[in-house]
Amino acid sequence: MGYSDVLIEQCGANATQEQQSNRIKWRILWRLLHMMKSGFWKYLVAIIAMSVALSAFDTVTAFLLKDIMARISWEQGLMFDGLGKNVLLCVLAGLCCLAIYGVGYIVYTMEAKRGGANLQRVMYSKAMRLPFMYYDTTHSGEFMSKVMYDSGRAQGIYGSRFRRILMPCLMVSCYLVPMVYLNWQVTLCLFGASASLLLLNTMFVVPMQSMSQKLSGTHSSLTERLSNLLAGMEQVKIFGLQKLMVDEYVDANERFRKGQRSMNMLSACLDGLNQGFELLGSMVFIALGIFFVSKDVTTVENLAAIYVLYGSMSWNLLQVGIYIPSMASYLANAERVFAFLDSEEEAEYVEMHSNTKDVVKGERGEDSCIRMEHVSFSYDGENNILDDFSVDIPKGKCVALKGESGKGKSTIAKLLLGFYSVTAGEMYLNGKTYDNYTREQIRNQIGYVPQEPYLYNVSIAENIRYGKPDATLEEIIEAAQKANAHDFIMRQEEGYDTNVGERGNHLSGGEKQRIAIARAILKNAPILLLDEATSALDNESERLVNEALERLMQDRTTIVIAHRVSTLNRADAIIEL
Amino acid sequence: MKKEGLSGSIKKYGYLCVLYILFSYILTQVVVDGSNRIAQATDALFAGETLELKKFLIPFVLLMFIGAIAAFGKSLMKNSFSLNVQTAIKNSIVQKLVRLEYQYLDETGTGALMNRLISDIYEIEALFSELIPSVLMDFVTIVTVCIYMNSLSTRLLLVTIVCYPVLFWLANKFTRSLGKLTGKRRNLYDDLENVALDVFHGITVGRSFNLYKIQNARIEKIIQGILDNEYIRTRIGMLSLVMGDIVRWMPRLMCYIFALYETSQQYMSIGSCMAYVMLLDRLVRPLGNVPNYLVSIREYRVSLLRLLEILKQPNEKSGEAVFEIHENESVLELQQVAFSYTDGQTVLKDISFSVERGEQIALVGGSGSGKTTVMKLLCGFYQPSSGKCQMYGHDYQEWNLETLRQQLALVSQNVFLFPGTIAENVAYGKNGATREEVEEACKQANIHAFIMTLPQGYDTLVGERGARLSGGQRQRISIARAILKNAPILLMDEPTSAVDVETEQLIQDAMRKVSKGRTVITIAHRLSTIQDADLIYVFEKGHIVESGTHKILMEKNGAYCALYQKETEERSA
Repeated sequence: MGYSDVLIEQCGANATQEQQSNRIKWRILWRLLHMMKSGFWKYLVAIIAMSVALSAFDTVTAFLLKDIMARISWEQGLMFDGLGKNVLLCVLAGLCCLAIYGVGYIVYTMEAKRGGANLQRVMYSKAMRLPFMYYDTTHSGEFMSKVMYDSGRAQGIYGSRFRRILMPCLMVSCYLVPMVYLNWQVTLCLFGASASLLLLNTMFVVPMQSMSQKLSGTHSSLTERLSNLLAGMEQVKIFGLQKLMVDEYVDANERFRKGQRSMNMLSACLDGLNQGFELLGSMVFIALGIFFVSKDVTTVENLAAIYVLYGSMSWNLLQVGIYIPSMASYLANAERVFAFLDSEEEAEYVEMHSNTKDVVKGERGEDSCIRMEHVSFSYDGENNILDDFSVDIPKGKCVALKGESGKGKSTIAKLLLGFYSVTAGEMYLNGKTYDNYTREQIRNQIGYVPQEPYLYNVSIAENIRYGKPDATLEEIIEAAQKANAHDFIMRQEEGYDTNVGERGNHLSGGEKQRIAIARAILKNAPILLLDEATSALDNESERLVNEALERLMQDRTTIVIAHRVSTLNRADAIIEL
Repeated sequence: MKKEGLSGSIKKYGYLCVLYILFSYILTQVVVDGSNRIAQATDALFAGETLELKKFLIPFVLLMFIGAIAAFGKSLMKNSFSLNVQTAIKNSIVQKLVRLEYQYLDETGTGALMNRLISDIYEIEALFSELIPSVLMDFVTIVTVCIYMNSLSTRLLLVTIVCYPVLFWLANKFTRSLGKLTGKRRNLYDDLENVALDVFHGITVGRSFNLYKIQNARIEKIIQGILDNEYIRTRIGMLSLVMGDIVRWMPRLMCYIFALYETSQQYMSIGSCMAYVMLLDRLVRPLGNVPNYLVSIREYRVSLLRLLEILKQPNEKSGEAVFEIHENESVLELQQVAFSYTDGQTVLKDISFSVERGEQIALVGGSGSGKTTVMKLLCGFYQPSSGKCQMYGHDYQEWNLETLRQQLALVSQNVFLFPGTIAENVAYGKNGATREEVEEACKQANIHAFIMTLPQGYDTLVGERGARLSGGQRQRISIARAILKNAPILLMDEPTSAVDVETEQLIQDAMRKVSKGRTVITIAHRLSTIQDADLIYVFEKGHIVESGTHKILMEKNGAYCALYQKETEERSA
């Protein structure tokens, strides 16, 4: 791949950002490296070892060449004297270098992977601890693509970006040592030529970057068009939009091509200049060589060795130029990762607004299980979903919440589970205000059956076991039996070990509900919070679900968000919202 | 239709490729010539001749300019070639996509197809912008350098070339075992992402059951698996890296020594020896690339084949005939229609009914009962496996598909808005619609008032990056689109998701307006909306089990009645 191609690739990789700065944010880099903990030192040493070993390897080869070139001018008979020994030495030294390089490579790569894995681990566990608001308002796909894209790029810093800058720097210095030793005058001139080439290339970076940023916008809009076309195919066909859509796409494609053309021109110029400079470099080298050799400052064999090392040095120097801008853009991703990691988490305790932590007795004394007093709540701080809402639920009773959608039934469920803190008012659990308990304790008291039963993509047994993580298989089976789920589970090919598929896709709605009920049965919490499903089931599975629910409700305080008349009939009290 | 296929575009832009090869050759020749001049200068130096710098430098400056121009041309030709071919390929893919059979899209899944297309197009771009130019360039370099080396010393060239097959063999062996581990790695990362999504989707359950630790452990387990796999991969990767270095290095050492031998025997001058050393790298690198190419070609081939497979899919079949519409013909008629997917799953069995001009027909039934499939047949998206679909007395297959669809307007359940303004989205209903017509349609669809509340009004952007519209609003925009189309037959798929009462009334009202004077077929999810329908067909498991008006069906006390009672019960809760 030519230099300009690499440059374009790196520019393109940066282009997804809206704002591009070429300044490296050291603070971010330091924090990222700091996250590797003790691994960082191993990582750093490995990079240094790799650089030294690799440049030593090249140096050894260059010196063998020097030796061989020197022999040419010797007398016939002496030409091969001691050559074997030298070659053997060179091979041994070279192998040693490669061995060090290999060990360094393993240490480096593994530390980089560990660092990346650690970052991923931290990200995911952070993603599980966010305030509930986040999940209500963020689309999961959005989360995965944005946050994980950023973290993927941040991992790239461990994986390659950091090394790609550090290693060439170290190697250039390592190459300079033997080169200066061989002949400092020539080396100095060559280094100057390489450095000016580097400068020239950096000058191209900025216009190429801005251009490729624009282009990548067009490019991704092309992809978007394609996906829109597919997603809207029904409409395209019915409204006869084929020609229109194709024409629009072809136009956009043509615009991209035009933009890309000027980009190609620029990169072709850069390639031409680089090639010219490379030839200029060899010309300078020859001219200087001839001059210095004729002055007896140096010898041909020294020049040959320098020439070999110069090639490697020049290449490494250019690498630095390519990867510094790209490092800056990767760090911008890392910065976003840290912003995410620093964001607020769900607090351990629910927030309450009165200062009383008193133990209050319910209207019926000790019997009150859940009580909400003058509770108001709003998601956005403006519109109250709940306004001065009060309810008292005695132990062992069943209360049904009824009302149109949007009136706040599900919000009550979320407040009860401690997903949100109330805006005003008080909530009590077993006579104590909510902030007397950790969220975990509150949730341990409540068995929740959501409206759309969510099943994780693990086995049926595992899904039920989530109700009580240390449950034995017997307990699981018992819970499934009570939930009328055992029979259909046994009909599955692998019984309880059957995987339920993504979101439980392999099961029907009624089956999923019964597994969710089994989960709640196994949890055996004193309070049951039930959000009834709205979607219609066929009569048979509805009967099975209802039967299971009845069993679950026995001897428990139950709060039902009701959608069915039959449920309302069963309730001890109905609260209309 | 222009021939814009893969082979067509390669032929069309082949000249760029030829120019690219030419420039590559010039560039290599410049390098070879430069080395040759250095060799001569070195020889002269050793012979003790005084060198006139000026005489030496002038051709070199010339070479420098030729080299720079050749490099410029080469780069330009390469990028132009790949860009043009890519553009042509993408265009031909889009042209194909709009012509594909709907059933193919439906069965492959648009999401899956999209993913495949994006990654395959990406690969193909790389094929034309990287692999093919590199292969050509390397081939040109190898040939040119070999010819020159041959002039220096045939035996030295032979030694060089003989040393390299070992390299190919070893490298190939390693890449193969690496390939397997890379595949595993990709799967592990997919797993990780899926589990993370799973955890994220299930956050409500996770929170309420305190599953934080358990879910974390699930993720941790996969991350450990990744690290373990990476450890193996890194060790093998390291071996292949070091081995690669050694196999590139050994032949070079041998060549150095052999060159010394050649010079000692006076077969070669010291200058030639030096030129040889300088050019050796130019030869070694492309030779070393060959095994990588073999691997890449294998990968690109998969992508290429998959794209070609899509391009080879049959187009939507369309008849040629454009029929006159007779007043007295049945508008639509299905005769003993059955339908099953290509995997053999039967969805419809023996469906017959006909729809007369101006009738309001409703299809009801549970999910999976086949009513949506009927809709797709009526749109001409699917072809019946057996039986006949007719419009105005002519079989669907005889109709020119485009003309046939001009008779239809569709308000579907999943309203898709194309990125663009609201006005554009409505205007898709009628080619060349004026702003007045668009606004008139929106007024009828009860969405005009809402649009006017938006800061940019009709120019508000919608779609992924635009304004977020609610389901009800999108629904009404799509109704406006259907109104604008003004087709005699209207197919409606009611939204299942609940909307608030007010919005529902607006939608109902809009639907009533659009139904007026048209033949309407509705898939109803709420029976309350279809009580005025002229005829209701009740679907169950791919059959029509009942039909009649609301009144008749209620008296029958059958499947419809049961559905209706269940719905009223739920409503009252």
